Amino acid sequence: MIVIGGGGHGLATAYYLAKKHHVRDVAVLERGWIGGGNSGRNTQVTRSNYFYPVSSSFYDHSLTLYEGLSRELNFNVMLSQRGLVSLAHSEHELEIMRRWANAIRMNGVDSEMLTPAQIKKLAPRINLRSRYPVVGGFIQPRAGISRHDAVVWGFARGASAHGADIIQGCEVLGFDITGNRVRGVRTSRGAIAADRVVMSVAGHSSVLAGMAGFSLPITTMALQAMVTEPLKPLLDVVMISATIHAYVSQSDRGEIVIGGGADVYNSYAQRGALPTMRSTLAAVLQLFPSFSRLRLMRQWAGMVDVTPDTTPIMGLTPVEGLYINCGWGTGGYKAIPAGGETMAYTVIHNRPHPLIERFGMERFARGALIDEGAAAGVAH
Amino acid sequence: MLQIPCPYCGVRDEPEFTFGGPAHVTRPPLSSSDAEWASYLFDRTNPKGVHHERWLHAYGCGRWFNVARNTISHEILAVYRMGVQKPELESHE
Amino acid sequence: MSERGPFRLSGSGVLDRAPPICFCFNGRRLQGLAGDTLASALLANGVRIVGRSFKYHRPRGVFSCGVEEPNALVQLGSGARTIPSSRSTLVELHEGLEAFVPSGWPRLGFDLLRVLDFTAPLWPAGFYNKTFIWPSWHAYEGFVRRMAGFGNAPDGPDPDRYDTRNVHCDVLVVGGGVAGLMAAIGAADGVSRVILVDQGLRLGGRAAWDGSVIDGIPGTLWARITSERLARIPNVQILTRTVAVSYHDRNVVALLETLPFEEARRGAPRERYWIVRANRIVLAAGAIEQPLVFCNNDRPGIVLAGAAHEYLRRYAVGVGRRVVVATNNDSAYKVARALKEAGIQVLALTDSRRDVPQACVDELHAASIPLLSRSIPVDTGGFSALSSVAVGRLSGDGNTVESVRQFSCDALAISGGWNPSLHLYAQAGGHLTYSDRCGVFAPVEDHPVVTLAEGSASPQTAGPRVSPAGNRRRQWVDFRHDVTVADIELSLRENFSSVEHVKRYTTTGMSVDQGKTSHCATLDVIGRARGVKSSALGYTTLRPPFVPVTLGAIVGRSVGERFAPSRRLPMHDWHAANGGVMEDFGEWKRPAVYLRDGETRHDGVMREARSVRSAAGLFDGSSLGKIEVHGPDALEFVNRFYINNLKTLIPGRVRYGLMLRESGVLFDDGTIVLLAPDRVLLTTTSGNAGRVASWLEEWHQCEWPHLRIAVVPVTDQWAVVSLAGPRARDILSTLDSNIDYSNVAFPHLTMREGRLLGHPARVYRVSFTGELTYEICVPAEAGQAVWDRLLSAGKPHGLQPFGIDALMLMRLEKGFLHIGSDTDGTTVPDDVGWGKVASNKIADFIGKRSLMLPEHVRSDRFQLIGLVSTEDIVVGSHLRTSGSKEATDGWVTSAGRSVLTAEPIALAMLRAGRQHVGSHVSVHDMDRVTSAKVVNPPFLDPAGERMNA
Repeated sequence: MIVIGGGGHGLATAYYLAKKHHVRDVAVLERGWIGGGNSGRNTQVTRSNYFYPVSSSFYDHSLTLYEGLSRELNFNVMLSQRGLVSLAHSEHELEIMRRWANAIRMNGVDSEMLTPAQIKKLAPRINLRSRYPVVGGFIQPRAGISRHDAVVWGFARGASAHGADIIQGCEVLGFDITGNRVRGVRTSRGAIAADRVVMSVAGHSSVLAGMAGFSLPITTMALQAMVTEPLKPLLDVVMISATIHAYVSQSDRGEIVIGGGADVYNSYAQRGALPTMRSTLAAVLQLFPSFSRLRLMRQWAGMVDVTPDTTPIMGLTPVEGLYINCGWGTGGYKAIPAGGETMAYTVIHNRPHPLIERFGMERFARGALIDEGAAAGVAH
Repeated sequence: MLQIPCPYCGVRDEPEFTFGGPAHVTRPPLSSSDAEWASYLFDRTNPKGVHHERWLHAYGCGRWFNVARNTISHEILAVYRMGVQKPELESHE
Repeated sequence: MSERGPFRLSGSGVLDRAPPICFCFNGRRLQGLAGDTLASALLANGVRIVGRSFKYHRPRGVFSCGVEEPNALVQLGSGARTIPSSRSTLVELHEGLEAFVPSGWPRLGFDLLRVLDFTAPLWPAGFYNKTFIWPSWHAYEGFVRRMAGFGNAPDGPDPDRYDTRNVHCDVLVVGGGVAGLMAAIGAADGVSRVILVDQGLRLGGRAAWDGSVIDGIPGTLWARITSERLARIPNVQILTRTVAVSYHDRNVVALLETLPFEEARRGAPRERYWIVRANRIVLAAGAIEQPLVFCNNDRPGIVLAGAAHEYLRRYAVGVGRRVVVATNNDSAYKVARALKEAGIQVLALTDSRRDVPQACVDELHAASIPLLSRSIPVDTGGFSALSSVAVGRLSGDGNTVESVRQFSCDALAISGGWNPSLHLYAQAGGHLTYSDRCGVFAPVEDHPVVTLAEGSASPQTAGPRVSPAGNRRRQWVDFRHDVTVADIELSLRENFSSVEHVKRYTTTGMSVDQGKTSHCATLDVIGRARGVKSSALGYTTLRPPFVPVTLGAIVGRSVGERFAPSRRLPMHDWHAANGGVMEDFGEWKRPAVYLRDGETRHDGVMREARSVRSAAGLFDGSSLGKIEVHGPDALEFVNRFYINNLKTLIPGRVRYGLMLRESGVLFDDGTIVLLAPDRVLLTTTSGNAGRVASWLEEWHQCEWPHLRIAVVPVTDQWAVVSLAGPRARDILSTLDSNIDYSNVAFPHLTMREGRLLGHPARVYRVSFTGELTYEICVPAEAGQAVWDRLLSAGKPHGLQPFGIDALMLMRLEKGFLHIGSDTDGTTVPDDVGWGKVASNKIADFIGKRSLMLPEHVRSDRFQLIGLVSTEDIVVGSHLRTSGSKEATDGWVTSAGRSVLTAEPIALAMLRAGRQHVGSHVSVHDMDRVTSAKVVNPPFLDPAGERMNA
């Protein structure tokens, strides 16, 4: 078996294949270095506050896996369940938010509505009275952040320890498909035979799908992230405003970590545009005017594959033996454990894991989109 | 920040424009199959390389036009009016 | 020595006769000179410990003289004006400056946390990945976070302001040293727009102080003459105190200008962010000196040789009294000589090269400084600060040390070569290559836009940089994150061997200095450990910004209310002055309710609604979207956007229509009126006016350019005053108008054009409240006059103004759709009862084909129904039908209390809702569960008698 893509999802897939399903010969092919894509570029938000039950089941399973992940992998992923606060800036938005917060509870996941006073208590530095005042919000207490590199490395070590081969510097150049069945891949380091291949390459999914003869409803865009210089603790929750397009947290090293909306035009550049950076920072200063004198230390971008309904594409493809895991857009990091586990199941049984049955590619032709627009929004 | 050469106004900064997705998309008739219609709605070529796309000069002349742009370097290779065929481009890596 | 600090030298330096300045460092009152940086003033005063290292709390001193400073970072100022992580090498000293180092407990000079240094083997790179797992990370996190951060954020809003400048130019020259000045002179032909930026106070770079000779004249003089000459050329702009921080696609460079302290205090901005669009960029940004790596190479007193030179010549400061110089290249020789000439003891110069150029040998000889070739420092001593250096002689193959000599000294000036500053080139996509011979980077290819200035120093062959001897746990590579050679080797043993992995595993190069003095040494160490050439390793991506940039500067003036514009209704001032609670509805500020003294919001809303239902109310609906479509094909064009068949529209009749996206979901609703065969007037929801107009244009320009139409948005041109209630006609009829408002002449769902109070008017009979309503459109500038007249005419009839909340409540009673509340991004016409209208229309319209997709014809979709209850219903509550196996069966989209009966009512989306009319559902809101009955809306006047009156 081959997993193409050495990011969090690919490595987790290999881990579960090797550990849970005792597959001895699975190889992860990574064209660069493991974790060098979106897994190493995201802002580490780990949450499961989703609207639709089908999404909620999946993401909360992933969060539950995160909760036991350090012990499972014997590698500290530094999961900090400090709470994620989403802000509402008008009465109308507060109503929409209540619908969302109640949906989460109906799904059996934790959420609480918050008044402005409660928000202020959680984040004393927040400015409630900016151009778009904060009229309330809600919190998922079990949400928070974790350490992205540790998740990647933990799964890599685990997969490797259970017999998976991780091959870096190995780019897939084409598929060997006969009789509509995959027989192997051609790579920059030679051909490898396999009758089950998983594509887990995020922004490059269209490129690979094109090699296999089908197309995907995804658009690859740049998503920026920024950090300030490190500071003593001053923000203890993750704060998100979908209205003004920004989310903010503080890493355990002390850096303020900032993200916003994606740059909307197609891009494989992994560089963000200047206007987006400025508008995201303007939004952050709306919420936290005292951050104005802090300094931006580093700025980078990932390459996110966005679907029309911000729900991923997982499961079988038109080619037998070829499986797809993509379309995570701005929200793939939190899904890594469940993504790997369900894809491993899918590959072994040649049918989608129950949790991901409705995430298949065929949903688009039926019009059965799962539009988590509000939930995915700006954050991840 | 892209510097986009609007065919009517000349080179202007990116924030003056709105991105309009892929160009040269043909709207299928009512008689199309579900798969054909869904493909029109959702499928994307999403190329790593030259992309033919639509842009609107929203804070300018208000006109739509087409652009051929490299999605890796963001270099704009051609700009042509709406309704015009795809131009021949030299091969760009 | 002089009274201006024990390490201040008289008779040398540019600052020789500068006036004294008082400042405060960690509570100590000290003196410096005007023109000092904080670092030079601290050195002049003999302050050796200026910081504590991140992990081990080792004492650290000033290391460099520029942006690359990794040690001497301070908290500047206090309160809302404080600036954390300020590099004292860049801070201009001013009277009363206060600086504090937030490290060390109980104090900087005596830090008990140095116990971490003594237990260093317990804390190698990545130790936190292998520990702190049990019971969970939460048990340790608080402590780690407190230890990790450096510096305190300001405690209040920023009192300073920041400006943004946008400029275009033909040539941007980055760096105002000799190479940059030459490049700028070359580009400045009098016509081309040239911008030259330099981070210093004056142009000239090193030439301004290092005693070099250019074109036969002293560098200082050359720099001044050339700058003046450049400034006189037309179309040249010179920016000093300005750093080029980032390159952005495409051909855009951001600059950060720091204004002098006193100017900012007098009301000027503190910083300016320049966004430069350049046709060509010339990079002349000089180079950053790299250190040598050996045991205990981080003690206070160890400085970069170039920095020692600059402190001497520019600031008249000696970095020590007994100095050893250690190098692997030519550049440190003149430093040794300059130090000696200034009266400082230079005990020796060590050069790790075996073959030292004769010119260097001669220079040392002339200054009577002993030369130790093929030698490198191998260790240093001194608990709090440097007191000795051990120099080892390298073996033939360079892998071991043959003999060691000790020197007792208080300063060690080191030079490991000069790494060209190619940040902008790399950010622009230029590729770099690491030279094994020189130990620094060079560009690989020409870049189409970013070129390197001629005369930029080319790298020299250099000797070894890393000592082969000694405990590798005590050899520092990255000072800020306390990363040692041993940490890098550990990373490699754990199989994190690519340079990106080494960086992330050890965190080398990830602190505030972003690896400016560690990048090269990191590659050396990796190469040596892996047994490969460092040039084959690749390198970590250089990311913007080149130096950290104040967030406020990047944002500029888009702060506070300026973050986003707000749109105001024509009668805004009246609303605000008469109790209107102005709230955001999209871009618009609109009155939610007009509150009277002592009234709660709920009371106010009910009062307004009751007055509308019993007498009359006045509503400002000017934000209503209004779009005209002109042309012979106007009706044909518009018909393609709505689910309704508009071909049967008669002039004067108003049709309510729904507009879809191509995916079939509801996009907007509004009215369509045929003004003339070639003129259609559309209305849209307030929030979508711009979006619908753009949508029409897009389809016209891109898909149907052959249709002869023009889209004319007129939202802002017309004020809309809605007069609603049983008394509406009575009130309106008292006003001067040529329109017959009787029900016979002007029935519901028609529109009449004419004049009202002398103004052109378009009056609709449409009703969102369910009452008899005249929606009066007059030119926007006439809105206030009409509003005032109606108010006074209506007062005897009990007319009151009413706001959005009351409007929404009344339309809820009537079950009228509110796009965006009752619908979301998945709702299709049939879900809200309009399926038949859409399917009956034969002609194609946008979204029609999507309505036929399997998902859209399912019978168990969420459908809009009404709810009644004995208990209040909260918007956003979820619903469950009895016997349901699903997590949720729907949600409440609008809710309130009936105006006349006070009964709780709601609209909701319920799974297969229409099949459940008559049954009960449970209503779930947070912890509260209640019950409601499913009904068909409306809740009031189902026959519509009130609005048809």
